[in-house]
Amino acid sequence: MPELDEIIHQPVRLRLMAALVAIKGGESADFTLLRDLLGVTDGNLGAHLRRLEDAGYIALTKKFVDRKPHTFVAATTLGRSVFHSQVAALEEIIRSAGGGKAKR
Amino acid sequence: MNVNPTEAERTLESIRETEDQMRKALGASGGAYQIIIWGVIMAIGYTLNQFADRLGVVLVAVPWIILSVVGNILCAVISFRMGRKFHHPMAARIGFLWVVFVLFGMIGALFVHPTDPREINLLIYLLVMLWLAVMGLWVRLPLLWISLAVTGLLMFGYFILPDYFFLWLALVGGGTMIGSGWLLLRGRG
Repeated sequence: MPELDEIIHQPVRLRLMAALVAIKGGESADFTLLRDLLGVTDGNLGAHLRRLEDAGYIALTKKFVDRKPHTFVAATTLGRSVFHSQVAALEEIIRSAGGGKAKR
Repeated sequence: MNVNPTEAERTLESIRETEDQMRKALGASGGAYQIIIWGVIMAIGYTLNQFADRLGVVLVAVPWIILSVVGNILCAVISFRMGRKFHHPMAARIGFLWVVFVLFGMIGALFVHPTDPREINLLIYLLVMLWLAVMGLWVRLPLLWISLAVTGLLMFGYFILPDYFFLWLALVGGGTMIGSGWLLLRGRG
């Protein structure tokens, strides 16, 4: 049975990583964009971001935009790799059970 | 950690939806609108160029000036707003790169002296495509393919359709940019 990463396999964190991995080319997403995309509160998102940052899966950058502090979030190389492994593991679970729609 | 196949499928579906949402957010964050704006400007402007003989210089130049000023203002506003949602570590360099390209273009024009309107517009367009190609290499690879494809089509129009070159610019240049921007908005970029 393929291994699932316990840190990333939490619904909000998994969707958060999915959102960040969808961004290519070195760009990072604003905290409020992610909060609205995921439909969570500031505090909830903050807690998940801390967990992923501690694991080394994301990197946070603070910048001033229009004289207001903004937090931008990007997936790290490790984070992307773990996310892709997670997806591959989920697809393998479906394939092993003889399921049809394994691929994203 | 045990996950059954049904849970795995639901999770993958959730991942797919989130990725789609993010791609749409990326597309709608500004870059796509900027490309569409310049596509519309070029489509209108170069169509006027094609009929310059009948319209006269004023009726071609004035709309171009107005469209360019409005386009630049709109793009600056979009860039400003876009900076709030996404950040690229090379954002400042991207902005300066365009300034550098314009500067080198102006220096080149001092020595090359193109006089044929088709040559002048082609050189300007090639400069834009070169900038887009660099953007593709730095930021988003599809931009590189778009710039190469448009450049190839421009060359075709210049050598094969010289009498209709400006209409070709309007169609290929403007139309491609509008189409590309639309694709980016739909999250397909």
